[in-house]
Amino acid sequence: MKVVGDRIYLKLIFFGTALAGKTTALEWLFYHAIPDEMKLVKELRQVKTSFGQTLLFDFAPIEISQNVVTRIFSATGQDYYKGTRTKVLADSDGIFIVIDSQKKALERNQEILQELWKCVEEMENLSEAEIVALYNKNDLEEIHSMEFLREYLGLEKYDGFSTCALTGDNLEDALIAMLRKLTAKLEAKGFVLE
Amino acid sequence: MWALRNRSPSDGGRKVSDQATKRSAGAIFFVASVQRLFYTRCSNALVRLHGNPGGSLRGELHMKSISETVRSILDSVPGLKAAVVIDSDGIPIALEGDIDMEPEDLGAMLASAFQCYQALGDGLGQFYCELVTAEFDGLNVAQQMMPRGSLVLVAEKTSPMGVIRMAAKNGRHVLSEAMETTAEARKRFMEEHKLRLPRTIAPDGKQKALSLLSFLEQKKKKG
Ligand SMILES: Nc1nc2c(ncn2[C@@H]2O[C@H](COP(=O)(O)OP(=O)(O)OP(=O)(O)O)[C@@H](O)[C@H]2O)c(=O)[nH]1
Ligand SMILES: [Mg+2]
Repeated sequence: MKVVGDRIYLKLIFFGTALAGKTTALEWLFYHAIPDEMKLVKELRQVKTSFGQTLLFDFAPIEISQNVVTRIFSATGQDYYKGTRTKVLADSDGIFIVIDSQKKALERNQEILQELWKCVEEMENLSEAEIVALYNKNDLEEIHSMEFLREYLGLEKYDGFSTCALTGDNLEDALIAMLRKLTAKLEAKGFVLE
Repeated sequence: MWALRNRSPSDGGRKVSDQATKRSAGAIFFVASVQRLFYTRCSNALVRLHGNPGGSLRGELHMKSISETVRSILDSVPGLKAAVVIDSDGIPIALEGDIDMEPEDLGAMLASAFQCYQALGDGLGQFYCELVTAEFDGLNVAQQMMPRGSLVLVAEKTSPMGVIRMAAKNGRHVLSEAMETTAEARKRFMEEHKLRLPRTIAPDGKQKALSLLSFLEQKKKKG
């Protein structure tokens, strides 16, 4: 969180394995849930590879209230770009962990969570970030249940939502949960948002 | 400050003046003990300081001196279109001049580009990346590292890169001190004051949805 001039800046990030649906989730929220007048850019800013996956990040600044700008990023999940992924994660106030619920992705989910916990330990301020988990691709057949994944991946203590980023199923609820946490945190710090 | 030209309304961009009005509406009210009132400009918003603002007013003055310095850099180098100071995370601190991009958007791109070069330098065994230059078909851009952020100069092609580079290096010296103290000032600013957002009343007299959270909650309630 930073205060610059008359505005508070928050940073939200979608973090998870490659192809988990981070970009799709951010796109759905940007184009379906967030009112146009709150968007500071007309289109999502995307830095992609030639084959369409995220190279560096997708990004959109959103004015979530009159004086609060939330910069929303989705990081790259590809390990090839690991070096910059952790840089994008720095100073996040909120992290959406995007889990690919497909059975075949279980190990990759575990690996990226290990990376995340390491970053939380090592990077200043990150341990204070609010976390909400999205158990994505709930529309597919070969998937683990949210209950199984929560326990197996050690995410029981975080709010979790079973989502489909393609249709937006439960994404708004997840965003509401995150915004409530961030608002409560701002208030705890003495910022009275009306 | 924030004198950026925005995308034309026809392509859906909002005019800077709209934003300015909005930001002014979001003026910050500080509550403190002494009775005198101070008025100072901060971004486009009128910041009203009740009482003795102590460290905070000093903070505002530092913010102001950054934008004044940036303005003087812009005025002193021929062919410069814009001069921008962003913090290390890409949050715009000061912008002067004319670029067709949202400040936050510009900041995010610049900070990431710089981090990439920094990471490249790490790989090459370098301590830090001092300057990045980019030559586009119509613009020359130089990004100069500073304590806690960077100074970015955007110039027309008619301005030789050497001149821009020199201007960026000189600008760094002038701005360094102000940037160091801004971080401190900002921290104090957060610790000492409460931020209160004013209620906005729509023309029909109804309360406007103030936040994304209340918008989404209301939408959910309506089902
Ligand atoms: N069936 C289904 N497909 C999904 C869902 N979410 C994303 N996808 C698909 O999964 C693929 C990858 O989605 P992305 O959003 O690009 O994944 P990402 O997490 O951003 O991946 P990286 O950028 O590589 O880290 C795309 O083909 C999406 O259409 C979902 O909920 N259900
Ligand atoms: Mg992506």
